[in-house]
Amino acid sequence: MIEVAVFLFLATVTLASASAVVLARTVVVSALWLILSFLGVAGLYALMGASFLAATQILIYVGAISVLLLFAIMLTHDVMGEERPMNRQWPLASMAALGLFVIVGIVMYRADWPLTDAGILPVDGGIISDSSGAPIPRADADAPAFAIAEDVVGADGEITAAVRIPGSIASIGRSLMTEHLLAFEVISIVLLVALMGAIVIARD
Amino acid sequence: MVIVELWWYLLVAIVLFSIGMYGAMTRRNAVNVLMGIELMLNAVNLNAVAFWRYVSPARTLSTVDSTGQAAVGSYGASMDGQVFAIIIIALAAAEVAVGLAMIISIYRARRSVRLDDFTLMRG
Repeated sequence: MIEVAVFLFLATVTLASASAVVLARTVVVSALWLILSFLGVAGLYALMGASFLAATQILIYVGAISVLLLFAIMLTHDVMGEERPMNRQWPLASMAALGLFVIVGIVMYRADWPLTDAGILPVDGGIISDSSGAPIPRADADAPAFAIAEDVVGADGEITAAVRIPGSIASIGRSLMTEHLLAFEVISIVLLVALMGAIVIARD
Repeated sequence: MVIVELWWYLLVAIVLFSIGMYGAMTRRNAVNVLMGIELMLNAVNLNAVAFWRYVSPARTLSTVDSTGQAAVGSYGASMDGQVFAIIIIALAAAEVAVGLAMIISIYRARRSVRLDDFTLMRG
């Protein structure tokens, strides 16, 4: 129940501040609302158990990208002033955005997602397995995802199953260095090239 | 009992994406357009993590342990969704760096960041 309350709070914060980003009259106000929106998304990551991503979101989006945006705003501060911030396409744009929302919403509603049993996956993404590696089903699928200990400790306090809960950070590292190694290397080169490109473009 | 389900996150993500798209299409300031694009990228990331949380299959991974023995172990759920999100975050950072450098460069040349003023390539 508390998860629902936290979700509703974070979703409201994220969407309200995102709307404020789009509707604010001045660029600086937009940038400040954007930071709040990023923080809301970081909270949603944390709520889903993606703790590493939540930290990354705060470090990169809130810490780096927002500061970069504010710098750019300061460096390009010009005569924009209080004139209208929107162009003349806004009726068309709102129709397009609404249309996209409706179409994707219908697809999302009608799609048959192959859900994993939401109760089995603990918050940090590990699974509970017995000594042969087979997953142990949770007794109560509605039980909170982090109540792991009771499931493997017998009534007399004896441990009935080996528990391997890979921390999601270790799992991400393993995944990046095995299955997604090529993507990882390519993204490193992209970052390097983007860094050099940004310096070359912005230089006098 | 009400629990947070997959479609809750998908709904938040699509609303966020629509808001970002509206912002990217309507704002006149180039920096604001970049902000709209960032909101859209965040929505995509939210989707990726939500699918990781609710859809990704648990799987076992065959590997070799430190003694050279083949080991089959449960390494937990697939981390693909989170890896996607990390790659998208890195791309977003690169995109913002290059985009802002371009905006600053154009500002130096044209003394403006209004997209309406940049009509050099209009036919």
